[in-house]
Amino acid sequence: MNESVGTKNPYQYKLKNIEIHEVSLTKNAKSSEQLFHFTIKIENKINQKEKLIFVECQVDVFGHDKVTTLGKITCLCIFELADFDSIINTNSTTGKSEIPIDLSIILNQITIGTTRGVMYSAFKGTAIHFAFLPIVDVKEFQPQG
Amino acid sequence: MHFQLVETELSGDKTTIFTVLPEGSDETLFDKFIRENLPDFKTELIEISKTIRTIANITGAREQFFKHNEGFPGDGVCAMFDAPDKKLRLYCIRFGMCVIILGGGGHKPDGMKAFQESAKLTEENKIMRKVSSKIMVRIKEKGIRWVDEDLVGNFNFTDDE
Amino acid sequence: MSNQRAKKHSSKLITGLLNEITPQEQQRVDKRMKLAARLDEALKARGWSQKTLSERLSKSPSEISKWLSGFHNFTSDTLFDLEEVLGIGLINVSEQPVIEVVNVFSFTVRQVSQLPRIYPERERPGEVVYLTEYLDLKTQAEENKFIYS
Repeated sequence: MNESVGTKNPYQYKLKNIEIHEVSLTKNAKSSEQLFHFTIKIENKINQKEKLIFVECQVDVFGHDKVTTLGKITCLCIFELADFDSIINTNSTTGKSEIPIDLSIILNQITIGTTRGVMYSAFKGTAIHFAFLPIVDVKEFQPQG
Repeated sequence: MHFQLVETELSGDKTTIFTVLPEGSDETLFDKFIRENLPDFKTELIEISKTIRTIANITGAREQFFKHNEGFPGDGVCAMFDAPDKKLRLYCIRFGMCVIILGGGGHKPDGMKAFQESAKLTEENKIMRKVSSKIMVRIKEKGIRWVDEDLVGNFNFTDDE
Repeated sequence: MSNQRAKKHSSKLITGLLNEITPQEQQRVDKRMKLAARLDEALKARGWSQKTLSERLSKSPSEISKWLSGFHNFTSDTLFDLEEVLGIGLINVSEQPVIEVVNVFSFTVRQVSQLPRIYPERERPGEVVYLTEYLDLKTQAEENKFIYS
């Protein structure tokens, strides 16, 4: 259970499961569509009891008008984290659990990448075959703690 | 018998709910049923409305929710009742999961075994048998057709045809 | 051949009755009838008649018919028996894991031409990167940046 990303990664974790929660293609999807918009929603969840981190990535594919829904995919990566209790802290003011930002960045990046692959496989040969999920630098949108 | 079929606001995604509007009247058979029973059986009417609403929006008109064989064999005439005491009986015609035509009905006293024991229920049942036979003919002659699990066509019925 | 739908007829009496129904009451009937529908589906899936079920549970056929009518208020024991004999889940009593949502991010990206372009304002001026453009971001990501190619 050791998977380091770069030399600075202080965390040890492993991918415990990948779940595909939803794959859908709408009737609007036409192969003539060239330009796609993607709405990406990422949720970080934790299960304290099982010491698991869930990262859910939902991608909605829209056409060039940003309105017409063409497809949707929701993919969940479940991570097991070594030394969970010392890494996942509870905020004393809010009482909410907190995932360190650098860890969240790594797990989000892995999940987006996984979703991209699952999405390619799911939509291969369909009207949105070429709707590759763009490469997103997670660090750029992650709020700074 | 002159009437037209009209769609009620109880219709939902799963089932379209029609009722019968006799010619020259502003009151449908289902409205008449409500008006006649509102003073004594308001709770029961509300129960029936809830059931119809669930059928229309959620479950569809599943066979299990109706009391069958209330008309001629195969004419679709069946009955609905209120839960749990079954004080009221409402006659209707069920066409599969997607269409119900509500008629009239009335109070079914405790201990009554068959609707024929009540003149009112017998009359209401007779009306729905007639309505059903006319619709059956119209469907057979393609004056009313099924399109996307809904009925379309001519919903006006006269005795002259 | 007419292709018309039936006329809509609004009724004050029906509206009056519907206005008396609270969402909670309607939901209870919805659930009761969905439960009855589920039982009926399970019977059909097994190819059982109501009589078969009545024999399996030593009940009268009329009682089974009442269960399927959508009006019956089941006891938990009856539901447990039905789960057992039909092999379906009706009541979930297993402990649910507590899952806490910690972060939510949402944003929109767009594919653009992948022609390389000089991007002078970057840390290393002159570095060749793929065309970068910011699009409408949403929620928490609104203030933040991202890159895509």
